Order: sequence, then structure tokens, then C-alpha cells
Amino acid sequence: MLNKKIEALHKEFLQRRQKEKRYVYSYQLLLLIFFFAGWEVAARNQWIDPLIFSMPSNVFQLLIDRISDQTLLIHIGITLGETIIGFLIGTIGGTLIALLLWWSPRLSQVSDPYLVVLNSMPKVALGPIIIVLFGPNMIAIIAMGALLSIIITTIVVYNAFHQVDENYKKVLQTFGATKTQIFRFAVLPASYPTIISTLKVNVGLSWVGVIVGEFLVAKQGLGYLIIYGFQVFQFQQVMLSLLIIAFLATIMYQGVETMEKILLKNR
Amino acid sequence: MLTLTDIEKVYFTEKEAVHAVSNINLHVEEGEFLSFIGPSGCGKTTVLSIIAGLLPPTSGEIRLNGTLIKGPTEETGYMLQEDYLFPWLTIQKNIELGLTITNKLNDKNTKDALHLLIQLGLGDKKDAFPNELSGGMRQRAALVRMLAPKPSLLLFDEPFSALDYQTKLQLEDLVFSTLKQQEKTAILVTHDISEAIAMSDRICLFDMNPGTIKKIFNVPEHLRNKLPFQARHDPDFHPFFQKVWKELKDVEQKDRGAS
Repeated sequence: MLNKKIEALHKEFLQRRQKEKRYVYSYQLLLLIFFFAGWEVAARNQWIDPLIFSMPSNVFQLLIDRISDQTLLIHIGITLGETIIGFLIGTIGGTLIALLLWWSPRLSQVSDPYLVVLNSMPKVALGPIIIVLFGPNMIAIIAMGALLSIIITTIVVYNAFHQVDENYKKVLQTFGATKTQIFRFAVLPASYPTIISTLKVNVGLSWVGVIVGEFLVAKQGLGYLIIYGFQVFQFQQVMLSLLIIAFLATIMYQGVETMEKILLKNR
Repeated sequence: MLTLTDIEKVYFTEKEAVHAVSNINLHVEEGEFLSFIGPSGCGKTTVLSIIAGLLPPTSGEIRLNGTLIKGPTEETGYMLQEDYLFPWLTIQKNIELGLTITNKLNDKNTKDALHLLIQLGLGDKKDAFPNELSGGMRQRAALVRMLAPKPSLLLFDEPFSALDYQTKLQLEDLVFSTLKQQEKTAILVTHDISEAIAMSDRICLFDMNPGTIKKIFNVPEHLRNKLPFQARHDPDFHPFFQKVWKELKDVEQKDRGAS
């Protein structure tokens, strides 16, 4: 008797949750449709200047054209490749530097003020120097992408290493663990959550670095499409590139989040 | 088995040099269970860390089975106040960690450790993660982890103090019988006189500023062999408790007078 009642209540509870979820989804979808429809209508009626803001139908037409003449995929491929490489260098490099600093407390003390300065420095201001250093090519762009994330990764991950509970290290020390073992079995796994949350930040930072890099030197890529579209006043192209960047950056972010769920499922 | 000769430890801070422990001389026989009690800050944990090889003494030497201790060895196991099981590893993986680090990970040792896990009532939890276990279960798992590499000397730093009273009593019995069965030598740091009496053969009372061993009590013979829970209910338990209690109070009063 009681069981039946509980079961019924549970069912009701689930239905309510389901309903709430559906509400949220439909509002989200509605907002999206409203945005694009509003844009289209506003542009067609000249409420906003279609020359500057273009309109979704034109952007979509451009997308179809560019896919069929196969130029878009090359641009996407280049920018995506640069971003991913920059992201990997920034994240892995930053983590390795953090490891070095953790290994040698003296080194970390010596480098502390320099890290603070480098971190507060707006890295894109270094753009011209990087271009001179690496030449006006893809390497410079990747370097921009990596530079933006490497310092902050170093600082955040080093702090995470530092804040690992001493007692976890003590447990391993009592077994006679070496420093390498302490790092591998205690410090690194305990810092996974922080490392992964810096990954999420780094996705965004790498995109910034690469797009700015492409603004400055590229002959191909989405950043190039934006700056070129701007110069010849072809704003469909600018809008199209922006939408593609938003889409790709979201996918990358989601990818990191999925990885987070897999890696951290037991915490 | 274990000999401490003239152990001194001085800590240096920016403000001062702290004379933490002084003139510690102690001999522990094979299979003996020893407790350290004393007011907080008397250096009993420091001495335990020195025995474990985690802290180097400023002067003096420690010998375990004749060998000089210079750092942590696999002959010593150490258990902390809390379990500190690694939350990202299953219970079995946690237990195997000690074996991995001491290079003793093989089928036999793993099997023995799992057997002990079953003995301590955690056989069905080997694939669980620490956060799925209660405090008492976790501390039992930590005990298995410590025992897995088969150390001969076991060091306990207030291992029951973070547990509730019932769990603590159960765990005392469990630890006591496990150690007796495996014929291990053990040193327990505790602030609980009853626990010290119920579990040990001898009790070292520490004095502070600097930390020294003020007195060593021999627990009455027939209390020693009883399970801690039964020992607590023995008619001789209370008089002995009073005796230790009085001495401990003297030490604390003297310190208060001094400061």
C-alpha cells in the first residue's frame, strides 16, 4: 500500500523534472530562433544596416557557396589546427613548467616575480615581437595561441600542486616513496580537477591568440576571413566566420567537459 | 627490536629555535605494544615521526633490528589520524599502492592483503571508492594498506581520534587482535588514557618543554592480554587509570605553572 503511494509520488516527481527540462529546452530553442528571425527581419526592413550586419539568409547562402567551392574547409582546417596545437602547447607546456617549479622550490621562488609580471602583461601586445621572432607564418600564430595560455596554466597548476594535502604525501613517504612517485601517485592525480578546469579556460584563450595572430599575419584561416571581409566591406563573410568560430569553440569546450566527466567520474 | 639513544630534536623557525624533544632513550621488545601519552605539544608525534624516518633527529640514533634508521623504510608502517585513502582509487588499488612503492607488488602479497581485507569485514568493498565507505571502514582499509607490505614495526598517530565512540571501541579490538595474531610490534600515540591502557603493554608518559619521557608504566599483566573492550571492564582497569591520570595531571599542572 505504502509502496504504491511512494511509487506514484516518485513518478510524479520524475514527470515534473521532465517537464521542467522541456521548458528550459524549448525556451533555449525559442531564443535562438527569435535571434535569427529578428536579425533577418530587422535587416530586410532596413532597421539595421544590412551592409554592416548582413542577414542570416545571406550568411547561409555564403556558407553553401563556400562549402561548394571548397575554400571554407581549408580556412577552418587551418585555424582549427593552429588553435589545437596552440592549446596543447600552452597546456602541456604550462603543466611541465609547473612540475619544474614544484620540483625545485628555489627555482619557483626565484621565478615568482617574473611569472607575476608575465601574467599581468597583455600577451597580445607581444604580437609584433612574436612575428619578428618567428616570421609572418603559421608558427607565429601558434606561438600566440600558446603564449596566451601557458603562463596562466603554469601559475594555476603550480598552485594546485602546492596545495595538495601534505598528508597524502606523508602516506607515500612512510612507504619510502621517491619524489617522482609522490608526484605520480599523489600530487598529479590530486591536481587533475584543477588541470582540467584550466583546460577549459585555455580553449578560450587559444582561440583569442590564434584569431589575433591571424589578424596580424595570416593569408588563410578564419581570422584572416574576418579581417579581409572587414577590409573589403563584405560583412557576410565576417558574420559567417564569427558563427563558425562560436560553433567550433563550443565543440572544443564540450569535448573538454566530456573528458572531465570521464576522468573525474569517481570524485 | 627498536632502540632509541639520546634522541634530541630542535625545530628552527624565523622567530626561535624550539627544543621539541630531548634525551629520549627507549628500548622496545619484539611483539610489544607501546603507547605515548602526554599533554598536547609534548613532542610525542615528533618522536613517532623520527622513528618512522620522516624527520631526522638533530642528534642521537635509532636502530631497528640493528640497522640505523636514516629515512622511511618498508619495515615500518605508519598510520595517520585520518585514513587519507586516495579518493580517486578503489580500495583495492589504494591497498596495492603501498606494495607498488615498496616494490612488493606480486600475486602473493596482493592475495594476502585481500585476505586481510576480508578478515576485517571489507571483502565486498574492494572495488568501492573511499567516499562510499563510512569512517570506520575507511580507517580499516587504511590499516590494511599499512599492513600490506608486511612491516614489522607499526606506528599509529592517534588513529581512532577522528572516529565516533562505538566505532573507536570496535576498531581498537580489531587492531589489537590483528596485531597480536600477526605478532607485530607497535607504538601508539594517543591523548586518551583509557585507550592507552586498554591496548598497550607499556605506557610512556611525556613531559614537555622540552619533550622527554617522564615515566614508563607497566600495564598489569592480565590486562595486557585481554581485548581492549574487555580490559576496559576489568576491575583493575580503573585503579590503574587513576594512577596514570594523577601523573598526567601533575605534568600538566607543572607546565601551566611554568608558563
